[in-house]
Amino acid sequence: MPRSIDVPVCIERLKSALHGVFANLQELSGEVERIWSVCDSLQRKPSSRDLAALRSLIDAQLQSRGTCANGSGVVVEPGELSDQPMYLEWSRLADNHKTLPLMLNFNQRSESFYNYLSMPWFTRPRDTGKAAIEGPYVDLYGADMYVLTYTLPIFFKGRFIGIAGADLPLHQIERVLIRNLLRLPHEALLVSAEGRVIAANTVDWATGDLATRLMGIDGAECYALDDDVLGWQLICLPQALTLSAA
Amino acid sequence: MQPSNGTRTASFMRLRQEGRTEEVVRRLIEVIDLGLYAKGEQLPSETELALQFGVATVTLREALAVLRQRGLIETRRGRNGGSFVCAMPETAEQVLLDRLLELSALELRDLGDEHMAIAGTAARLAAQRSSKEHHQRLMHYIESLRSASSRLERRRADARFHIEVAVAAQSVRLTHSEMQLQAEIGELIWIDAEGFPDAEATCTEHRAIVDAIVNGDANLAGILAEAHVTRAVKRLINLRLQLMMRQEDEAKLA
Repeated sequence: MPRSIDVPVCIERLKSALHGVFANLQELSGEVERIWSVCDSLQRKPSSRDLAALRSLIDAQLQSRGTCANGSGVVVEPGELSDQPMYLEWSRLADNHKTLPLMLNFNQRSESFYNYLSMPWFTRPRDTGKAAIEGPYVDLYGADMYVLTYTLPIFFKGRFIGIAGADLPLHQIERVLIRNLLRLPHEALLVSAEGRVIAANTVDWATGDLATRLMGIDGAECYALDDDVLGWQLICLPQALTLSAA
Repeated sequence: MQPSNGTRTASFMRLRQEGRTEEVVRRLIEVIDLGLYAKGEQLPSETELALQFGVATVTLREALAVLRQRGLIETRRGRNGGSFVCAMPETAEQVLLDRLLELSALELRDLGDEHMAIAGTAARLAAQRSSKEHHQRLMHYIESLRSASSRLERRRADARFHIEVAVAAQSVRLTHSEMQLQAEIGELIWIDAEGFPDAEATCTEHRAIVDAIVNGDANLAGILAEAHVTRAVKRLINLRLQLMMRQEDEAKLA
């Protein structure tokens, strides 16, 4: 049996599992700021064509080894572009390791108009100025998947101009997270800000369960993973981890 | 007389005859029919769709050709080209009645059994796993049903409500099953026949399910959802019997 680790080490490792995604989003966000700054010095507003320059970076990030994301890109705050009221530059990863740009309907008169202004992955980072992770949730449009959406607000001269984001299918990232939880000496679960189980090292809790009632019980210890970023918590239960056959 | 073992198991042993193309056609009709892709909206590119369904581009093109032939999508060429969803004509009432008559009482009962299993379990799990945002979405689709102005809109809002219960249950498989069931019987439920509930009555039942989900009462939510879908299928079985009786009467007169 592998040597067990203590809680602080586990938390560090859980955080590092997400660090790659976070670093990618920061790089993407930096690139967007650079585009805004170049346009600013030319005294014009950026256009959707300027955003196309991001495509190679987005694709390279999605195709890099060890990535947990199956889609990533930038979604722009209305009024920021000269040619489009609402716009995104987003790619998805295909089976054959190629990427495909995502096309959405931004025609506001259409009944299926894709209004991201009401979606929490857009509003939360906009309103708090901090990164946010939405989910896990069932994505009706995303080819039957259970996903997390990680988003970072982008600012230019203190003004919110959009978000950089990535979709993380839970079945991929869960492996990495569970491997770390299994090294703890006791039963433990990783829960989202809303108290939903993301990963657990015990059969008593399944991904998607609400664990809010656990947070107050005796003997359960909660540790914030990264209080200003995710709102995720590691909950350690008093029971020792045994995992013998039931 | 008992059939021999061979014939008794035959229908369960038979593999689904549907080919890859038919399956893609069925799933695309499901999402268009349920309004997930609405009128005038552009479908994702051929490559993207092929990827989503996990089929070869050739297979996907065949499927799109079938949809085009049925008038569900139109394909525009050129720079801003692609496949666009056409306006869904409201199915004529008579077509729905004919479709209902084609189903056997057993098929209807079996559809009801499956729907009871899916909708009941989804509601139970939603009561345990849903959050405030899910509750708001469920309430939103009750409101869309209340304000719907055509059968197509009512049917879509109703279907979407049930699908969102499965989404709130956090289950990809239940969501998928609910979508398939809604595509199969959703339209029939909104036939305008005597004794069928109007939008308002359905909203009241949906509201009771949501209240149980919000209160975290899994058993009540499950029982209400099961009763709700069972009643709908019973009404269809009853309507089918009435239609058959009418046919009998007409035959006698002739």
